[in-house]
Amino acid sequence: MAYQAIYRKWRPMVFDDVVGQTHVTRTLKNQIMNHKTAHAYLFCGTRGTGKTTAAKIFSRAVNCTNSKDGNPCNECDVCKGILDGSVLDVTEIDAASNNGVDDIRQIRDEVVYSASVAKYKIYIIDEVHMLSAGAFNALLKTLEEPPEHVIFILATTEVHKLPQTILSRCQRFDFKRIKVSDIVVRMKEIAYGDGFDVTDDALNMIATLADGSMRDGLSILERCLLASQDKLTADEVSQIMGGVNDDTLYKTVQAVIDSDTKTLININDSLFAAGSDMNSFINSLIKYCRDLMVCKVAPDIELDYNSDFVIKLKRQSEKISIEKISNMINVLSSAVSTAKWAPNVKIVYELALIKLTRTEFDVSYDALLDRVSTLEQQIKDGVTVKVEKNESVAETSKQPEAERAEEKPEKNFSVTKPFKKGELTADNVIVKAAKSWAKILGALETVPGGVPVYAQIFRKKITIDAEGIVILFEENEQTSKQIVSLPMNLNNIKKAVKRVTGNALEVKAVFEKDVDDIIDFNAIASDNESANESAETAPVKTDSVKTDSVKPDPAASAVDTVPAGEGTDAQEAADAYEDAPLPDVDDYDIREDDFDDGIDPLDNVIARAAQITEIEE
Amino acid sequence: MPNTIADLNKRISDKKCTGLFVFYGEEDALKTHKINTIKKQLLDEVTQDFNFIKFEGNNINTDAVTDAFESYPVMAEYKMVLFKDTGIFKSAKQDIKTFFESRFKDIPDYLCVIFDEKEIDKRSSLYKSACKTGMELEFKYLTDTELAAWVQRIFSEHKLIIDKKDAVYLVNVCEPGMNSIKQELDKLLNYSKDVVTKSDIDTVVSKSLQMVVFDLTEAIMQNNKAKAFEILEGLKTIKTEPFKLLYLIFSTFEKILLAKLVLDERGTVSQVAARLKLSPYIARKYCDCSTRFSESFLKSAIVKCADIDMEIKTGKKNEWIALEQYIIHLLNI
Repeated sequence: MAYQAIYRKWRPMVFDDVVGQTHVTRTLKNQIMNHKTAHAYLFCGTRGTGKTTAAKIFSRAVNCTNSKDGNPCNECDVCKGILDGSVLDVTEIDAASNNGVDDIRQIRDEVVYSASVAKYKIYIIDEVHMLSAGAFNALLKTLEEPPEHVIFILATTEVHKLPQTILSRCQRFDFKRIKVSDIVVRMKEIAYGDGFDVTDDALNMIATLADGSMRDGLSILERCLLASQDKLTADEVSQIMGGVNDDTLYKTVQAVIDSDTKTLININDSLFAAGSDMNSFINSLIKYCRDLMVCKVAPDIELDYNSDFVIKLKRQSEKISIEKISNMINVLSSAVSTAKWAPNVKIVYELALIKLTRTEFDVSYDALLDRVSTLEQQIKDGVTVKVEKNESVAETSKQPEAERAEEKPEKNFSVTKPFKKGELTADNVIVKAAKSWAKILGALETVPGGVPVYAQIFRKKITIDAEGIVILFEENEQTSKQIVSLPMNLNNIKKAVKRVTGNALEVKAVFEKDVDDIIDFNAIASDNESANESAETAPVKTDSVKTDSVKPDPAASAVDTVPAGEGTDAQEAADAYEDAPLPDVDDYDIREDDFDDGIDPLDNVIARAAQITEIEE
Repeated sequence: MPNTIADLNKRISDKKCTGLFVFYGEEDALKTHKINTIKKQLLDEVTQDFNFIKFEGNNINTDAVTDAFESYPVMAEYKMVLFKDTGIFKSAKQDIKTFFESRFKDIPDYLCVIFDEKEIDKRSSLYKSACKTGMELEFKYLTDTELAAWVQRIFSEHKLIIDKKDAVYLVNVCEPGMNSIKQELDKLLNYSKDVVTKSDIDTVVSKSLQMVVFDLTEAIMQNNKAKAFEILEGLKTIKTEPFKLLYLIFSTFEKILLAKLVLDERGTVSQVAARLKLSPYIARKYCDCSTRFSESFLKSAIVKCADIDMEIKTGKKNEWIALEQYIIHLLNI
């Protein structure tokens, strides 16, 4: 015999085999036993709940010459005839394809003749909601007063599409979704009957995937059995059916809870790269949020996930507030509607996801609610302060000293521009220029209009940065700094610099306190060896500027070599550095103090709550 | 003074069933039942084929009617002509009107003429002239108590016992009309053993959507979240239209609010029933609810309904998600 799908092979043959619909089967059996059948039945319910099966069993049971307890015997001539289709008194019509008035008229013409072999003529009209309006009207007359030997059985998944006139003429039976436990029991029977080895976990998982439909359950079982080797396990089922999806959703929501934008974007990217349909992803995310929400308000309700995942889901639902979920649904839903018109769907969804982690950018009512509830939670549970800064301090201290020393000048890029590693050698034009500062000053006197500015700077300390010469002022020398800073005066100095060194260099006037690292250019050795050494250890710094640095000293500028003990040693410079307090640590202290007071978050909540009441009013 | 069913029953028991009858109203089952009783009394089964003539729909062949009226009964005392859903008492062409007016004046002794109509216009001249010569009777839906008694009687005929309270409950969960109650009764008769309990009713009977929604509001009121979602899930499974559901939720809250307002002005439950056109059983339920919800809650629930409607229709949200969010919102207040 040709291969037959499991759900067809194992279609129940008697009422007792129909699972999870005792309220229907018991009534039907009693009706048959008491010979009190109605003339029209309406079976409604979702797919795979047993409507057609029940109709088929009923058609045999009511005609069976040897029926037991209302069940058909399936062995008498009539039963056999109906089963193999040789008895024409049972007609099955697919209303989806025979939905016209003519099809129904044909039935109307036929019903007047009595049944040939069986007791009753039975018409099973499947998917009856597909009939056209005219066909319904044609059916009405027949349904209202059919001859006594005729029984109509209408089956449909969408009962709301039937006109009231049809509904009121039929005895209606609602087929319920089949419980997971019922599906498992039936599948066990089938697996045993066919000699398959399936673990209980696997059956449970399939039953949850079946979504209350026996046919779906059996189809999934069949797919898994075909793909598996010998014993079917839960792992295999999840592999075959692709249970990964739920995990992705779980991770996404977890990232939202942790405000982890990076992970969110990564998930989004990887899905996009894998060619997944972003719309369906976001829709299932919304569905997932809905499940979370349901799980939160009604933990006892049954959800369509396997038991392990439900536990995970419940745990996650405890970590997230109802306001946050609600906000998520709102943001995602509006993203879905925006995406309908957006040319680049990915960006719309990415934005929505970012919005979820960074609620501070969103001023909508729901987002505010979400934030207030987060704060409430924080007040209730206390706040865990992340001491990331501390870690970074610990990390830096592990780094080689020299590297740290190099990082330092970057802090002050606004005032002076630091040298790149290895640039600061005695051959550098800037260093050379600085060393000949006395000559420059001399030249400045001869530049037209240079005298006034010469008067302001001839006793000033200077240093260098990557762009040129930096003239340093004390804090109380505001006026002289302003005068020097005039473009005209700076230009004059630049002219003098060019005249002496032949290079166009930048000249800046700054307060000494604004410059952290005053470079002692006199200390830079001119011979190659020491130049290399200082290049390796990066800019030479001194902790006390005033003593060591840099008076425009004609003598110093004349001598190229640096006096011994003037701090060229890298180790020494680094040591000096370590003594100085680390600004990072300072920052951290301040932060901790803030939280110790506990005022900040509380104020926030009050302010936000007030804001929200205003909105509500 | 309009006729009552008792008047009709008296005529039937007095065996004075000839003449003209105009039956109308929404309770089809009772109408059909009475017509069949009359038919049984006047005609015997053997000659029924000759003496029972039925006209249906608004296409009336006046010649055929004349034949039916004027020919004598065949091998019997009486003859019966039934008109079904002709609509002549609502709107009819002038010639049809004059035809029937003249016919009504002259109905022979052996003839019983019954009109079985859905709707009539009491101001129409034809109706007035029919009233003069014949008997008009409106078949309204029966009251809860009458229906419950009927249900109890049927069950006792089948040797089943049902509590009066449960009978009232059964009558109210079904779609209105004895026809639909009868269908559900048949199911129960074949399902229950000895005693019909409330849980039997809950398992077997297909409840009307209105009642399901009421259960939902009750669950919301008791803050029974699991039950609320079970109901919602059930509705989703049978693919109820979300808008229908939304409307019913809206109207339920609206009615509870109205009941509250009536009660606040020292109204009674029966006044609520009259005002809201509800059966006393349902009205009592609404009144019970109204004491447990605050006015502001009801108002906000109603307003929010409109918001959700807007959100769904502008495509901001999926219908079911929006509904579920709404229910959760109500559960969390």
